[in-house]
This record gives sequence, structure tokens and C-alpha cells, in this order.
Amino acid sequence: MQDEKKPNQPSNPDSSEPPKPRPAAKPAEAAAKKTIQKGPSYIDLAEDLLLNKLNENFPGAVVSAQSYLGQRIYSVKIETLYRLMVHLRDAPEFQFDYLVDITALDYLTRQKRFCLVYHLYSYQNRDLIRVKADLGLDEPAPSVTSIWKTADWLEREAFDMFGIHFSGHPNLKRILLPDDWHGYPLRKDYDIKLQDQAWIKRHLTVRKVHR
Amino acid sequence: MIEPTILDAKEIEINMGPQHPSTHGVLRVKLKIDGEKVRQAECIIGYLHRGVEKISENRNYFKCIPYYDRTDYIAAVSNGLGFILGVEKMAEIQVPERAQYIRIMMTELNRIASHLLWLATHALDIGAMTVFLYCFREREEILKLFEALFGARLTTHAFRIGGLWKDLPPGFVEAVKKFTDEFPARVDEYEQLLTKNRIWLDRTRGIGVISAAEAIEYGLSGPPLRGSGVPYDVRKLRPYGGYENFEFDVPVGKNGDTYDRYLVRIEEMLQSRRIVEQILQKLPSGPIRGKVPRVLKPAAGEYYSAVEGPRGELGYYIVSDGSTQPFRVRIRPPTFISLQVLDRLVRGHLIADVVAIIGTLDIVLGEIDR
Repeated sequence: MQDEKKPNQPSNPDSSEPPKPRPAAKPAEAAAKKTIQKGPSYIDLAEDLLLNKLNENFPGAVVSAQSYLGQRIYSVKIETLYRLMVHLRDAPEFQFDYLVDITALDYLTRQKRFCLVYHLYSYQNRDLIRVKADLGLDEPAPSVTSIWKTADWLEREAFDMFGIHFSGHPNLKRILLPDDWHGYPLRKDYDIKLQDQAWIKRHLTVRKVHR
Repeated sequence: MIEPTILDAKEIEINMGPQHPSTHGVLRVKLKIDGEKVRQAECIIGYLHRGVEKISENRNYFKCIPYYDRTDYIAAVSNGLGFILGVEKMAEIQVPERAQYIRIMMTELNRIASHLLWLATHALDIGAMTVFLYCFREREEILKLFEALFGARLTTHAFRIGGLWKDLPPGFVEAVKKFTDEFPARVDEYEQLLTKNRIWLDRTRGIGVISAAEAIEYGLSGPPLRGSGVPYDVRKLRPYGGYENFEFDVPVGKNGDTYDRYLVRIEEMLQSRRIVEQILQKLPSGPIRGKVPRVLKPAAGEYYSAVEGPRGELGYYIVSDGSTQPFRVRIRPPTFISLQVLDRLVRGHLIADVVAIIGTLDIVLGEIDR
């Protein structure tokens, strides 16, 4: 459909773009660039109750607090993450008792490569926030399974897909992929066509794996 | 809960699935049993893992959507909606009112179809064969509507960024009207068969009980959470895509058992019908698709867009780096998270009740494994 590539074009990023689709794509790209300038942007939170309380209780822990499209994002230091999460759940004025989601992002070029993303919801205040924490490659993250039971499988999935270790997790093993699989598929340096060839040969009795 | 009695026999471990009809897909449950009583259940999932999240990092925004439509194949129509709404928000695309209304109408019809399939298979698992046939009769009507509008019954690609693919075909509104007029009588039929049926009550009451506080702690959403008495519905709390224009109630249960979750879903079907009726009354005319750039590059940013799917809160966390492909799309599948509670729910129950409890969670393995 609305697609900048021809469908029959091989998905080889190294080969140079064929000259044909270029002229057709250009005006559309220019139109898209205009929308980027108009697009939404991150706004620093100034007067925010949660931010003030966190700064009061955990000085220096919150690296930045922003909002994007009306959703609030708090970036915190990984060292204080666990204590901060306990506070967010237990403090009577917040009560973020519902852990919506845990996931991770992989920024390959950054020094602290991973970014853990938590979505928390408070039934009392009907409030949804996002907490982020940067994490280095071989750095363990604190497990929040003792705070919310939901975290069990979510952390296992982050471990499975990104290879992030959660210290204190009761049963940290792969969840979607087989236990003896090698590699972490959602890392950015894991190509989409890359697979654990040895595993496939061993278990699926495929003589030659098609690439 | 029934306390497991210590029998003379050793505790043994049996496999339920991966190919077992009552697991609704390819779920493998390792059960540790003492006689007939279940001591522990461990879920082994991932048999249907396709790597949808990885695939979406390598496709543009338009091409991603069919993959999401396939994750939960029972609610294929409403599944991509969360992602589409998120992208529209990030790229600041306006959607015409008519498209919004039609989207909600189809989403609610899909909720009815999904709950009908759930009721059919859940009742079949427990042994009520007739309900299965009745439910499929009505589900067929909805699938015919899907086929007329989207061209497919199950594997639809229903909504597009900016609106819809095409407008309603002639006679569609009348067909929906006929369905909504007939539907309450049909629901009465199911209720006559089940609601006061003594066998149904024995098999569902007091089975898989979970309190409201615990349901929140386990992160349940959708009917399993509302069955425990928590009125959490994304449509009400964080309205999206035009839901604020319609009136509907959020049914909640009291005891948090399998029976209450059944009642909640029955009532939800009637509430969905109520929304569809309101849409039919005030369906505006006009265009069905807003202006969408041919090459879509949302500004670098992030957005968590959640919708209330038939199974619970279905969230899409979209991260854009300003290119044509998403930097990352995280799907928050409701049943992946609710399946965790299985071990807690089945302990102390009989093996036959495991079937009822898997049924009451309404899992779809395509969505769990992604």
C-alpha cells in the first residue's frame, strides 16, 4: 500500500537503491518532512506533584521529568529504582498499585545501552505514568516481582528478548523462546533474519537452514 | 479453596497440552497432582512465537498493522485499533467522525463475536454442547458482516491509519440493525440454558476465586478483573477513538469466581449491543478517511496507546525515531499477563476444574506468544 519500497525488491540493506522509485518518492518525503516540524514535542514538567514529592524523598534520583502528548515520563537512576517503585506503590497519595507493563528499549549507540520502561497505573487517582531507567549492557536491574506479581513474566520476557538480568527474580528463565536458544532477538544488533541455526538444526531436523 | 489431602500415592506430574482441545491453542500446562487435586501448575508458552515485535521494527507503519490483526485472531477487527490510534496521535492525523463511529461499531460487534466464541467453547469444555451451536449461530451473522465490509471473516485487516479502507456497503446498516434487534432474545436463550442450570452452577461457582486486591496485584484486566468487582475499563477511564460520545455501563461481579466472570461477559455483550444501537441512530455521513501522508514519519517520540479489547487492556507502546519504521513497538497483551494467575487459581482444585479456569481466563495463544 503506502510503501516507499517496491514489494519485490530484495530486503538487502547493503545494495544501493535502484534509481526507479526515487523520483516518485521525493515529493511525498518532502511533504512528510513538513509534518515533522509541526509534530508534538517533549515538554519539561515544572509544577508536578509527583515530581516534587519524588525530589523531596529521593534527592537526585529523578534525572528528568517530561511529558509527551500528555503522557508523563519520569527518568530515574537505576540504583534508586527499586526504592522509588516501593514508594510509588505504597505512598498514600500515589498508590500506583497496578503495574501495566514492563519492557525495554535498546539504543545501540548509547553508553548505557538499554532503557527499562515501566507503565504504572493508580486506581485511586486514575493516573497512568511511565518510569524509565537507563541500564548498561551487563548491569543487573532490580526485580520488582516482590512489589507487583505481574512483573514475573514481564521480566522474564525482557530477559528472553533483551538479555537483561533482573536480580532477585525468583525464576528468571526464557519464556517465549526455548531454554537452550542463543541470542536475544529484540536487541538492535540481532538481525531479523538471524536465528539460532544450531538450535534449528538440532531440534527441527532441518538439514540446511534457508536464509 | 479445598485443602489438598495427602494421599498414599506419590505426587505425580502430568502434561496438559500442548495439543489439548481445552487449552484453546498450544498451551502446555505442567500439572503436579495428588490424586485428582492439583498442587501446582506451570505454564509453558511460546509455541506460536512469531516475533511480531521484531518484525514491526523492520516494516513501515502501514505494513505493521496486519501483523497485529493476527496476534489475537479471535478479535482481529479490534486488535490493530490501539496501534492505529497511537500512530494517528503521534503523526497528528485527523480522523473523520464517520470513520470513528464505524470503527467503534465494528469493534463492539467484534467484542460480541469474541465473547460468543468464548461462551461457546467455555460451555463446551464444561460439557454444555447446545450452547456451542447457539453461539455459533449468532457469531456467523457477525462474521458475515465482517466479510461484507472487510472482505474476510477471520483474518481481517479492518482499520487503516486515518480512517477506513472503504465505506459501508449498501444494506449494511439494515443488516446490523436486524442483528441488534434480534440479539437480546438470543442472549436470553443462552441464559435459559446456563444461568440457573444446576450443573453449570456446580461447575463454575466458587471455582477459581480471586479477590479484587489480588486481581490488581496480578495485573489482570478485562472481564477477569471486573468479575472481581473492579470497574476498570479503558473505554471509560481513558476514552479513545470517540467512546466518550456513547453511553454504556461497565458490569462488575462480586465474588470473583468463574460464574461471575461468565455473568460479566454476558452483560458486556448486551452493553456492546447498546453502543452499536446508539451508533446506528446517529451515524454521520461524510468522508471515511483523513489526510495521511504517503510516507508516514511520525516525529521522534513515544506513546502508549491502550484499548479495551475483549480480553482486557491491549496496549501498544510505540517509540518513533522519526523514520518510516517504528523504532520499537511493544504490545501489552492482556492474556499474557492474566495467564500468570493460572497457577494461583488452580491450586487445590480438581483437574476438571483446570479446564474451566483456563476457559474463564479466555486466553488466545496467538496473542500470548506473539
